Amino acid sequence: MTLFIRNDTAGAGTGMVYPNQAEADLFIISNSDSALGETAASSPGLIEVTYPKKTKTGFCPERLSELVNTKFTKVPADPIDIIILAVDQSFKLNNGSFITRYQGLTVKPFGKDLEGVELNPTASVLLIYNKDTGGNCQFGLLSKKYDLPLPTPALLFHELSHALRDAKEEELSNYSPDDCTSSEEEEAAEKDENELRKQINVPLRDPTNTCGHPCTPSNGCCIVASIATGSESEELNALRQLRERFLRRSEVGFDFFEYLHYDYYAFSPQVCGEMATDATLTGNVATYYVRPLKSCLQLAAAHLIDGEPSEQVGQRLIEEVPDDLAGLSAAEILSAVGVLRAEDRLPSRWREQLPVTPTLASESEFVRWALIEPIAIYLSALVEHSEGAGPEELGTSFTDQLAQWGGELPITELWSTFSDYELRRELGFLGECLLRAPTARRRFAERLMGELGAHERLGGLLLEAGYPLGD
Amino acid sequence: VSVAEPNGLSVAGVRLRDDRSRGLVVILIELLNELDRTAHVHATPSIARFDAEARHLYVELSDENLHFGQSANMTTHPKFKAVDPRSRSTMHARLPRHLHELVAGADPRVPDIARLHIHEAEHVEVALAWSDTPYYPDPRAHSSAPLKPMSSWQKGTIRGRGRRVERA
Repeated sequence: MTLFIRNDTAGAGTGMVYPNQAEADLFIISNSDSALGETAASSPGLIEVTYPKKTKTGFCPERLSELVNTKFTKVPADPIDIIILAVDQSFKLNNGSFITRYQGLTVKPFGKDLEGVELNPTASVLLIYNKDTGGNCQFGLLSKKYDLPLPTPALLFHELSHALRDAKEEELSNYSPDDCTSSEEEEAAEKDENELRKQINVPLRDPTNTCGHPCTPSNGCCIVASIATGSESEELNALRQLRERFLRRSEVGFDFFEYLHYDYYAFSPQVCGEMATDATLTGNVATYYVRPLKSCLQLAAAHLIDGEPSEQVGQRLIEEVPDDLAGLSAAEILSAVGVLRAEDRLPSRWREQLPVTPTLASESEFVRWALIEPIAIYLSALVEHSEGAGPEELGTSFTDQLAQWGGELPITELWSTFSDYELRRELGFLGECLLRAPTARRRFAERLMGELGAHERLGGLLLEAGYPLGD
Repeated sequence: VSVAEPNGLSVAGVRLRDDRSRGLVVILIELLNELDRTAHVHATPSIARFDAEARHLYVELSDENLHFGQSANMTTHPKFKAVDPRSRSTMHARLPRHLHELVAGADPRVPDIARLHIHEAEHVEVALAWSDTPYYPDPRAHSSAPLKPMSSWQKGTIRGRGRRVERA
């Protein structure tokens, strides 16, 4: 027998380790197999896991049987090969880091961290896991969000996957290109974890993503929108999706977002502060800012990325007007547009009911382009609709404005650092989404030529990428 | 005593309080933001070290020195605290009164567990990661230079020291 549980020698309930938790989790892993048992180990402080003849079938009971009944002769402490420690948030590794930052960890005999600090002072494989995983979520395979709770049997089974390979000295590569991409070793453990998830009938984890996130609703998106419409609102999720799926996928999109992010957070916390004490203001921000922004960006994505024709966009625009905007007059909407663009000619009740666009916002070309103009385009389309424009006319006008807007994408310094290869790639990306219309590509090309005039090959690269130059 | 970073974000004061009734040690960190914009601070204790003899507790609220390359289940993202422009704000970092860590046992095959009585600390030192923008993960599928999103988010580390105080 080779699998053990660390007992609480200081006495049950002293809060050092939780053997009862480990026993319960192993029972679930065995698919509630009554053949799973335990016995006092020869070493004090250990409980020996026994599983002489499994009666349940399936991946997880098979794996557990292998772990319990294999003699791992490569482990120096053999036959005490693998020791499970169920701990709580008070547990920290010997390099000082809290288990709560990892939730679970498996360390080879005498294993050290990258700085050389010994994390495992024993000759056995140690498996340490947090019994209180609540509040932390993993990335869902289907949901594509950090919304997956981590059941402790899944956490333990994941770590047992590492432990098995450690005990056999068959560890896979631990290389990961970034914090969230799973290494080969991690992906193998996450796939095994999913077998346990299938057994207990809970959603599967994305095995390519090793990150977790507090299960709080806000995954970092526009805080004004969060407050105005609720942190898990349809509007906010749509904005998050647009941001992550389209806006930040390319180098220029990512760079653009860095600037926008910087400028946006120069004023938005103050707007949120005002909203926190004023329910009317919060409602108005949702009606006039957040919902139009979401609607505009969704229609823009449908047209510019999915290729939806203008008339269809016009039809959707008419059918999908948010309820709270449907009953407004053209004058009321125009007033809101005026406030957005900080036009002084429109003193109206909107000035009292909407936060006048803070100077910092209207001064930022990034905020203007990404937030103010899409809202204004959408609200202007509503005005046209209220004045009797049909789907075809409305769609053409709206998509023309989108093309004009696309061509004005702010050009950052990053463009001047690109190699020809990178220029081709970025122009290609933009040409397939934001700058699909020839007018948009022409305008953007003019501006890029103006910015990077000294670049000898730019004209050729633009033409090659389908960007018309001149008349 | 605090280590200031003029015209930026700094730790204006640190106090440690033993909240016995809730089983917690509370570290109150007073932050001073002299910037014209909101500052964002890493608010999850990641690392703690306790010198029982000197009664000195060191707590790091940063991912800078975490090594996520181990066979870890997941890398849990921290929480953050925002500090308004040109203002002071107090952040509460809470830890259990006792921490536990592995030590070598009499049997070299079996670990012992040591209990650290951090509620007895008289001196406390903190290090916090901060930035002038909130943290967002990097969704790009590729990168020519592999990114470490948390470390690229961080603009700096601020530090402060303080002492134990009794509850008023």
